Amino acid sequence: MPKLKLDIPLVNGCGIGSYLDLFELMEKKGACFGGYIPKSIGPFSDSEALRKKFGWEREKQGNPNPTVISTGAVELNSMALPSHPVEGWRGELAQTTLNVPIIVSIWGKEPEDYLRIADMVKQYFSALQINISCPNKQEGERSVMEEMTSQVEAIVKPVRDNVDLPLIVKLSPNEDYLAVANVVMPYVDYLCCGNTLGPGLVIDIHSKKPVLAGKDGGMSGAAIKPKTMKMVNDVYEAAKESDVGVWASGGIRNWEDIIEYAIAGASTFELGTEVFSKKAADGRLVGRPTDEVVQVTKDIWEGTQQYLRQNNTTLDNLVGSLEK
Amino acid sequence: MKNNYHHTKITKIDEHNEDYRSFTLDTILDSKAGQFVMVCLPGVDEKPFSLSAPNRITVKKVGPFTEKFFEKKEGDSLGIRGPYGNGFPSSYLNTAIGGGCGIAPLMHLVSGGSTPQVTKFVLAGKTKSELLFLEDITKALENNRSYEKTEIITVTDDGSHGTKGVASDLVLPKSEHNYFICGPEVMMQKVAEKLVATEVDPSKIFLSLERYMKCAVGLCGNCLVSGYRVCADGPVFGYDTVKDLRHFNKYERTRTGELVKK
Repeated sequence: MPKLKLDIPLVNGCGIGSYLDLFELMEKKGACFGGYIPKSIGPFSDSEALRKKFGWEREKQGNPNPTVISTGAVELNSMALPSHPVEGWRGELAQTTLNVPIIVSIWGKEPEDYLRIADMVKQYFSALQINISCPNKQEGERSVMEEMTSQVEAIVKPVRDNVDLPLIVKLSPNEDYLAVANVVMPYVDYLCCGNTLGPGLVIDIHSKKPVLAGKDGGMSGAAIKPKTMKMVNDVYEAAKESDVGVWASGGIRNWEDIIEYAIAGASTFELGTEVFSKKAADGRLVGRPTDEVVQVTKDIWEGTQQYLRQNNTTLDNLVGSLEK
Repeated sequence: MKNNYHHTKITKIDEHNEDYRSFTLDTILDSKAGQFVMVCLPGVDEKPFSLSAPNRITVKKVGPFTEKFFEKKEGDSLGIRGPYGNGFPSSYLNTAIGGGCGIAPLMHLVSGGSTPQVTKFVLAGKTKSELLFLEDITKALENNRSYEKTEIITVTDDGSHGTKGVASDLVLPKSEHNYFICGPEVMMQKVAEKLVATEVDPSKIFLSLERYMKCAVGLCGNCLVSGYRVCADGPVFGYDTVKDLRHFNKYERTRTGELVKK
């Protein structure tokens, strides 16, 4: 099976930063990302013919604001996959000046959508991440997680047969992830652990309404790291006899977290909430300016390499070295 | 630790004209001029607004959300998170140039405290009633104890106050000031270009940008301007940073994230 070559095994988490122009600025400023993942591309088209043929719409608004809230202990989002046409993505992908691999994430309303979208953008990416794990939804919808987890084999098999590029399935911590891992393992190169946790609920005590307009939302940030750590280790144990690699995505703040996830079994690492936002002096969550984000990625990667040197080891040797 | 999201009561409402109102809050937000807050009307939506004082939000009625906002009465409450963003730099002598609603965040500069110092203030609007806070700004500059002479310049499209024309018609004498500009992006670009033409260094010109804001905390990327997140890197940018960006004054992302012409 094809493997993804990343000079640095750090990428952004899908849905964080989202767009090519942000990644280009990060690269220009010297960020230590070995690849970038644009926001999940969904089944939407500018072409009336395609919309008719596939039953697609032009776009998806996602939930109104507030879409993100921090409790101070954990962050929640209820974006619910706002999406614009694949053609718009093609335009941005075609123009990009990025010099590192692009990993495209895809979500669908039907299992067939994944391959349809992959076919429309495959000349622009180095690997494909299958999103079956977003727990957020708009009113009256079922989430991708609820809708697609049970149909994962019908998604992954045709994509494997038709797309000769590395495949990653992004698993949810909120489902029976080992069962899903076992189903998809014959078809994929990597399993990503995981997506946001929950969903959770935050209530505005003044209005007695949920703070998030989407009512509930997936949780992210350092607080979910132990849950994701367990997931990484469980999936690593299930996959270690195969050549399927494990990605970690949950609450990474520093190089120590990279080492910890590697010991648990991960070999590629997604950075998100804790890197692109930060706590202000008064404890509130605020955006982290680009130059600081770049510096954090450098610190994480340099710290990781220094640890490996000092311990006379490699990341490969460290992966799955948890003593039980 | 402060709450990330809290309610605050409206203690006073000032009607500037039919389309502009200022809402004074019972919370004084530890803020810099140019920073913004996310205001939530539960069950409706949440949008970014700049602060015209540490305890005041100025709102222009532009759509369904601000129409709902205008239904709020004194004593009602608003959901608030923030302040967010960088704000204007704390430099000593500055010229402020505001157009319409863009006067509001610049008002914060003269609403208390001593830095940054504004000795020259340009207010621009379609008509006299769009010259928000003209009296307050006049009073604040009269009380300014800077060694430099203070000056207020007004310019209106219809000539109802001050010079007839637009802000970019003005030729400001060369100075060592920083220039803080806030208004529609096309106006800011024109004013900045005019300043550059009079040999002002682009790194001394600061603009406040606005885009469709979702998370406001650097995560989602919806407010990007050619890679810069307005919520995390801005909203105030040096003109040297933005002047050659492909998206500046040309592109914005809609609520779905689609990149469209402005």
